[in-house]
Amino acid sequence: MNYWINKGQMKIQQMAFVLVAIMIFFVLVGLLFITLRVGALNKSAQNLKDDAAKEIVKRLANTPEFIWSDCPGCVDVDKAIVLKAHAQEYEDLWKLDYLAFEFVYPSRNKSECDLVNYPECSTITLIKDSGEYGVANSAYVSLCYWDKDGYNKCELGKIYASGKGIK
Amino acid sequence: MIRKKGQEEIVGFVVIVVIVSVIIAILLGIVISKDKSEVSVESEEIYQFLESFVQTTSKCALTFEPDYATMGEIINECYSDSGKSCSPSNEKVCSYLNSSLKEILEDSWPVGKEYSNKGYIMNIDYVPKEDSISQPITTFFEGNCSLQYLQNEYSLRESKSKGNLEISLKICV
Repeated sequence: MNYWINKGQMKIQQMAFVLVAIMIFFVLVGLLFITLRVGALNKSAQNLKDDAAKEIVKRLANTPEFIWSDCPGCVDVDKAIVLKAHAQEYEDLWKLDYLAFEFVYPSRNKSECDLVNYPECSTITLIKDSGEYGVANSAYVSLCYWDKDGYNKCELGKIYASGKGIK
Repeated sequence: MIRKKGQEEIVGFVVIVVIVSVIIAILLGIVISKDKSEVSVESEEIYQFLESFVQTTSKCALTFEPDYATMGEIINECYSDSGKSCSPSNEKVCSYLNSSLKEILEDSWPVGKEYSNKGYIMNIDYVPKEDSISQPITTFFEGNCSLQYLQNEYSLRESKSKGNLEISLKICV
């Protein structure tokens, strides 16, 4: 009788150890998976940002409304400032809630551009819907225009876009 | 007798479990420490920045005013004729390049404890041809660089030789 009780206890102990071992194994595998996944996540987040940046420049900088013929991927801000008054008409075409160009270098006083202060201003906002447009995607771009001496001038700038057209 | 044998089995089993756990923990440690080693991610944003940077018109005329050179032309001139001066400032092209680089990088990639970017390193090198040793033209850095960074490079054709001018930028995060 005593022998059978001892054997039963032994079996229970064995099972408990197996369960503990299985738990340790799965915890370690889980940790390994999480570590690898977080590393991959960093890369895919960067890829998503890159895709969005590429998409903005491809979609907008090469449209006839903004293209600067001397260099690929450059934006003609002379066209943009004229287009500003009619930008709402293009909203359906571009499917954007927000679209703006910002001069980054040389740095300027922060002010919205209009036909009076252009080009001595910092931002040209073409579309700004009153609703929520979330965080706009951005990309570096050359903002080019003709200066008063008749020479072309390109400045380092950023394009910001948000909406259904940019995902 | 049977009890002793059972106890031995249990001890053996525990030893195996401990050994396996230690091995897995060591492997996990290696993977995690590898993760903390140098991590470089290629960034399209940096490429777009470099492309736009070389197209940016400077305040330095190499021929006559107001035909100001682009930053790409300034880099070319700094390599091929570093003694040349800018008009109207009379500043040497390489000195102008360094001061402009500092301003552009400060305006575009603010770094510090309060920013997501902790530092940057920009190198401009002349590479005579592929796989040959590059000659540094200028290096610029700011802030602290850890082992994780975003990077990309942009190549410019050197105007007087068959080589390339390579501009590389690492943004440390």
